[in-house]
Amino acid sequence: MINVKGLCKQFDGFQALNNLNVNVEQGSIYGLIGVNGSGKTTLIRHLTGVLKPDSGSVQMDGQDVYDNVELKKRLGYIPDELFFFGSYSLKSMRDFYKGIYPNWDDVRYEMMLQDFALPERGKIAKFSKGMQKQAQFILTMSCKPDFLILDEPIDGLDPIVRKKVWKYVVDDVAERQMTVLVSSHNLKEMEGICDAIGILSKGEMKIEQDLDELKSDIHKVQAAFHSAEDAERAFAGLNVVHREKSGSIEHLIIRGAREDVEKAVYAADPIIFDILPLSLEEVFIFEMGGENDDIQSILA
Amino acid sequence: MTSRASWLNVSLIKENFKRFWPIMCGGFLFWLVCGPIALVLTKSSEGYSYSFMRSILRHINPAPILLNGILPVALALACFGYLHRTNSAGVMHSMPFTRRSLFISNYVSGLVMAVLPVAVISLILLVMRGNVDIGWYVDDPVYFTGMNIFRFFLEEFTVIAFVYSISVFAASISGLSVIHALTAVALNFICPVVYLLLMGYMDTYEYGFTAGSLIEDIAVRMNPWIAVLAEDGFSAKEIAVYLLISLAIAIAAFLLYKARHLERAGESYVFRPAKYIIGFLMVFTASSLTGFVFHDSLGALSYLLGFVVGYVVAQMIVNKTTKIFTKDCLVSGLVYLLLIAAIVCVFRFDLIGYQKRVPDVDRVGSVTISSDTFDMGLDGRSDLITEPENIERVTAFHKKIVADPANYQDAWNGYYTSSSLSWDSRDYEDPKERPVSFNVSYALKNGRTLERDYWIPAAMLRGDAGMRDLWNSAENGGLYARLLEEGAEGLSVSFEGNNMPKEFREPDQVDYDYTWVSFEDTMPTGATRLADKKALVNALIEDIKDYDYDRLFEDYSELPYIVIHMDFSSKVKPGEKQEWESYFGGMGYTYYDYDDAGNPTVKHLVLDVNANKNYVNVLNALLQMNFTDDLHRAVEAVQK
Repeated sequence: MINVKGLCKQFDGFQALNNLNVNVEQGSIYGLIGVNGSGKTTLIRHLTGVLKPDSGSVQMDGQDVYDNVELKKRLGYIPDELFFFGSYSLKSMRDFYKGIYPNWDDVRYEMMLQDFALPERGKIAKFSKGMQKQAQFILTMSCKPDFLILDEPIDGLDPIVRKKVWKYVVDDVAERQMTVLVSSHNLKEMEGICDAIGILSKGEMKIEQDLDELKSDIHKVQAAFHSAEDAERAFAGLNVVHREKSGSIEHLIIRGAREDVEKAVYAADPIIFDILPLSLEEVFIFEMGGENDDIQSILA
Repeated sequence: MTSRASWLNVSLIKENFKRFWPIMCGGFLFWLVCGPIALVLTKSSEGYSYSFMRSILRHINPAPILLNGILPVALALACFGYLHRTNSAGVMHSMPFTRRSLFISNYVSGLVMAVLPVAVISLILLVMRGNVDIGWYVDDPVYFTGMNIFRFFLEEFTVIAFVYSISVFAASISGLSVIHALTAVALNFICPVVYLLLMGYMDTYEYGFTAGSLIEDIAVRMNPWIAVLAEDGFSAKEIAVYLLISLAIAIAAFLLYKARHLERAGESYVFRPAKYIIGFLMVFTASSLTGFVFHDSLGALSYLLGFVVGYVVAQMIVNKTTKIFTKDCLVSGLVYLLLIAAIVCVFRFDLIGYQKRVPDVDRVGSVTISSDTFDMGLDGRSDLITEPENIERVTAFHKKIVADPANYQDAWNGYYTSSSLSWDSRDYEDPKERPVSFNVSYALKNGRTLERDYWIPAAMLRGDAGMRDLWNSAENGGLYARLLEEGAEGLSVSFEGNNMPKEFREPDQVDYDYTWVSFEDTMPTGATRLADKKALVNALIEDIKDYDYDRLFEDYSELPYIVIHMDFSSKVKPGEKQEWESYFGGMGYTYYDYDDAGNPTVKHLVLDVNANKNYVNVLNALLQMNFTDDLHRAVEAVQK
């Protein structure tokens, strides 16, 4: 379990993280999303023990992460910008990882090496970006971490490799109760894999929720009524977060249980009524206060 | 929980060796070629080249000296290079290491790799020593010893540890590899440079300031990399001090490493204070250097010139940008300017009270005066002054000097430090009102020394009743007393001088050129000349017995004189305590001869007497002796 409580971090007067709280259940995959500069990488650097909090705590299994060697032995991290020792091959890196991670699994390493079909003795520096990412993934997953922090893990990977990557992650979550926090801009893939989502904005957690709950909690609605009074009556008791009218058709985004929305709208005898859940991408755009054009595209 | 594993990570050390061994091996090969291989190549049929062996063991071979500067910096760059990129810093610190174990493991691996080459070379030298005849240089047959090789290794280790620790310190505060390298080199010299700059300000503005070669000696000793060049190497105490300083620097580097902002990798310096301090030091150095060089012609503008150059360069480096006129840069620049102005003012207006400082009589144990006039023609008369009333006379005169800056400012056409003295200046000085040097050194009762060096008008010294009384006091009879004590046995004499008659000068020599004429061979040691030596000593005693104070101020520059170099030697008795005496800054002094075991055998008392025409008895005695015609002509020239 990962717990971040009241985390604050300031860089030269800039508040990068402000009283941030994050909770990731054990054996779950947590998707961290946010616009550029929202504080995702800063949070990840705290989670991996690279940065020390100004205030607040960052804990895994109830222990502070910073300077905690025993905990870090159980922590895997794939950064957005990779780093390998110069002139090292995958084999040399394996030897190094094997020396510092006690849970290193040679069998898994060999298996993944074959699965991803990477040359073990070639210099990693000469690998393509995608191959380097795969190499890092093999090394990290061979450590059999209890906690896995991924920063843009599939960036630069082809669809087939992406599928393999997610398969390994999901299998480990299912089999070993590995806890995963993943940051990515690929919301469609996040939607398919994450159990919970945290939306970060300006260093603060805007929404943190189970993904299914999040999606079932907000809807886009299209409806037309016999009169304006009927329309007002239909939406009066609902949490309408956005509303606009195009001719006689009302376009709305409503937060709340789907049943409650349906019940309220049907009670006003609509001429047209259509209700759809928002995709993660649409939720994200809406929650991030996208421009009118973006919201229009969600509602369209 | 603290464990050994949390201090040191063996895997990381092994990895560092695996990655950076070429640097270490490069250093070793360099040493091998410059040391043992070159030693073998210079071997003759009589054995190894003593001088080459000595150049290695005494650290005066330039190639290894260069290596000692490069190898530790290169290894610090290699072992701590991950700090200077955001991705590598992030990945390394996300791995299962504490910051402490990361730092110590990297520090230790770099240090070991820096020291290993010289350790192996030392072992090779030891093996060579045991298998060869050390050869023909019999004067110092004990040089190529195991102890000297061990000492060589210790001194090398000291230098490497110091340079390496400073380089690691530079790694902790810098955010870029190139800045790391530059900072590592600069920090190695920063203490000597700042010290010399401050001494430069003292020399420029503080009247009376004197330190002489001590300044350079202290500056050199501030860094063992430079200090090891000194012929005598390091004492055990110096090694201990340097290693302790290295340890302190390493601890400081570690504390900074722990507090380091990893997200600032990529900036020049990761700590804001470091940025400002280093920026200031750069500006201060540039400003001071132009100030010292151009002060006489440009005045305060000279400092501003260096400031502008220093500001531009420093801001570009510490901020890693060409935008150096931002608000932050300008504010820091203004602060630098004010600080430099404050430093200049401290010295210019003597805010530290250096110039006016004259010790109270009751704090003074003894005083020594050295002057080109006070002992003119009578070197050695004024020795150590210990009588309270004489000390009071000196302090009173000293107070008179410092009371009015005009005393010294007028004395030398604006040059009021001894460093500005030039013989050429005689050409435009009025000989009768020439400036005279006056060096006073107080040995204080608290064990400290207070020394000042002045140029003052001759009339000031001549007209001072206290100094006249001092001259005539019973305490001022050093040379006279010594001459009475020493016999002529064991005396050797030679003659030389600055104002020898024209007969002794080469055609192109100007008046004030130094001329040396040795008459040693005209007076070989032996019973036949003993009477001449006795006559010379007796004549000298007669001449100096009634030496008048006013005679000191005769225009010596116009008087030809002969320097009579007298060396009284006597065998050292068993158990006799060595006494190091010095008269007037070394013009009269003692020294010893030693045997191979380092025991003193012969004591020498050396006196240089400048005999001018007032030395009637000495000159007459010389004329009556059976010397060459040249000396007779010289004596006659002096008499005229």
